[in-house]
Amino acid sequence: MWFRIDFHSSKPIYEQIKEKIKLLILSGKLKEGEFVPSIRYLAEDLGVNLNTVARAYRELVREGVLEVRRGEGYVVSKVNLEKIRTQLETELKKKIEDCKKAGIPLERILKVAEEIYRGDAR
Amino acid sequence: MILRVKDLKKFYGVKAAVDGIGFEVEKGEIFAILGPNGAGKTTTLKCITGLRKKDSGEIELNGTFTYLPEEKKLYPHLRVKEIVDLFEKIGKNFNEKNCLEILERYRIDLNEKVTNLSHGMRTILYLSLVLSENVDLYILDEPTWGLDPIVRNEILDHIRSLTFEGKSVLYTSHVLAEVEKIADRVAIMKEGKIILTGNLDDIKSSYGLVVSKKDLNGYLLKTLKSGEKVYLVEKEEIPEGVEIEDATFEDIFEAIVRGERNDR
Amino acid sequence: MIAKEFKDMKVRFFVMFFLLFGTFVLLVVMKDYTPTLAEMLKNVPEGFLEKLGVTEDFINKLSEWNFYIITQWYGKNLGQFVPIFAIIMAFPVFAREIENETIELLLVRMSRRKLFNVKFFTPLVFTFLALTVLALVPIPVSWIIGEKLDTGLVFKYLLVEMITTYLWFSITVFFSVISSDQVKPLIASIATLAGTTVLGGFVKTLSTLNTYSYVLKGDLTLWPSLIYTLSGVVFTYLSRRSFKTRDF
Repeated sequence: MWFRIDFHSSKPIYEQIKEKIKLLILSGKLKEGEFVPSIRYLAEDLGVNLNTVARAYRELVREGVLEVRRGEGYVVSKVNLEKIRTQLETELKKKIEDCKKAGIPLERILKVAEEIYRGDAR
Repeated sequence: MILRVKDLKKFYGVKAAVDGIGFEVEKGEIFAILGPNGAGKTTTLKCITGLRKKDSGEIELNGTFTYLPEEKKLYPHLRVKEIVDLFEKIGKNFNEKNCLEILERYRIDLNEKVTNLSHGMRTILYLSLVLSENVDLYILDEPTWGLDPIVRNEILDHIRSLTFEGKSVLYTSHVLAEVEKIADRVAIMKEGKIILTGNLDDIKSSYGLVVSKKDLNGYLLKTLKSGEKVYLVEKEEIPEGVEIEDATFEDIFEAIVRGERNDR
Repeated sequence: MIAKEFKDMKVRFFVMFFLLFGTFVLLVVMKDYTPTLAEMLKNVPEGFLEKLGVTEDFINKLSEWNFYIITQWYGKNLGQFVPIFAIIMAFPVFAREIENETIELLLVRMSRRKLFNVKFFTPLVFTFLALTVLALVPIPVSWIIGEKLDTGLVFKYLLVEMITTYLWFSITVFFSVISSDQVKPLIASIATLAGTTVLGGFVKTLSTLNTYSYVLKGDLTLWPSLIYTLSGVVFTYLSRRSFKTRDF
């Protein structure tokens, strides 16, 4: 598992890790019951601190996204996909509001959405 | 807790270089002290390592430590090999093999005299010596100063990997971008005082930027041409409905160090 | 550690050692020229020479080996150099590392007590060794060329020189520890040497201050020897205390 971390973003690193893991689950790349890398392995691969990954995992466990299996590691739990989807939708709403403020017409937004969804089907 | 500093003060004459600071470093943590030049970072480290005597306060160190000084001066007329040998004799649990591996990776000639090494290579040499010592706490003063970007990243990775073995790091820097990559917790120091301290991620998420025509309860970041002001405000203090821009750590650092604050 | 300390001092050590050794060789070689010297001096007006203490009697005595060596080596060339040798060996020991900031490397890794001891005693011991060689070398040389030498006096001189060395070494180390560069302790020590010599030379009651008359006469009497040794110990103690408490 690897993804780019933006160290200079205003979004904390552990938040970025949490998001990316949720995305992987939502997109089906990480399945229920599958193990995520150990804290140390992920920290080394991503180039981030142990404490940061530990915190991300801790919070994901608290949110019910991951489960701890003693002696074995962290596992993707029976995910509440709905909850994750709701979070993503909230972020989308904010972005669309920004576009509205920027004066981007509704038609343009719909066109972009179409391109993305139709693009997959093709 | 591997290091605790409490109300540390150090005067040079009547001027307080360190004016009552306190912080703690936990095991397995990377703690960075950030601040402009002359803030008192180096003096703090020198008091902790015993090179300078503190005037008041407490320093509690629960483990072995090593130190990389700001100036990184080595004996100019000795050869690299001889310096490594010296560390074999007096270094703290020195791992010679490890050190020689690092030197080889950066192609530092063991037979070269220290005075003939470039500044960057001397830094790498000193780093390879200190990082090859096996201690609980690594105290590093500007460890990557003068290194080129690739080497800098490799050194940061190496420093980070120390914590994978349960070791702790206390280091100072005035390069924000670097601290953002590697610190768990930070303390921002200015004119002898710590003006902000906490977990880096928490700090990032607890501040926001607000544009306002009137004075706000926060740190002034910037005054716009229109006369409006950009304030750094703690998120809890921002009333509902007010638009918040995310604040990067650079924004937070700049605003807080500038210290232009209106307290209502 | 000791090897490193020796390396740090070896340039000035060997330069001075061989300089002095060379002077001794020159002295031995020049001995045969003293009769010629005597001839040359006969042409110089007697009154002038007498003022310098160079009487005909003196010149005749010079041809005697023992007198020659005692007065020219212990009483002049080596003796005069002893305090200077000590000062030059001592002044950079701490000051150089403090000035170069390399002392931080050591301070973090060894106790101040151990560091002080190694830095203080390594050059001192080597200086003593050099001094012993230089002071005792006339004995085998005399034996080789078949001349007599007052060995009892030689050993007295050796002791006197060691005491003087220890004293000036300690004083210089003290200046070296309390300052932060190399030049100041050197100047301070030399000034102290000059000052005490002059003061002790002119003011009768302060004559003990004049260490030069002590080392050049070779008079191993209890009183000055004890004072000089104790003073050396005091300066060593002050140096060590200062080293333990100062900031770097």
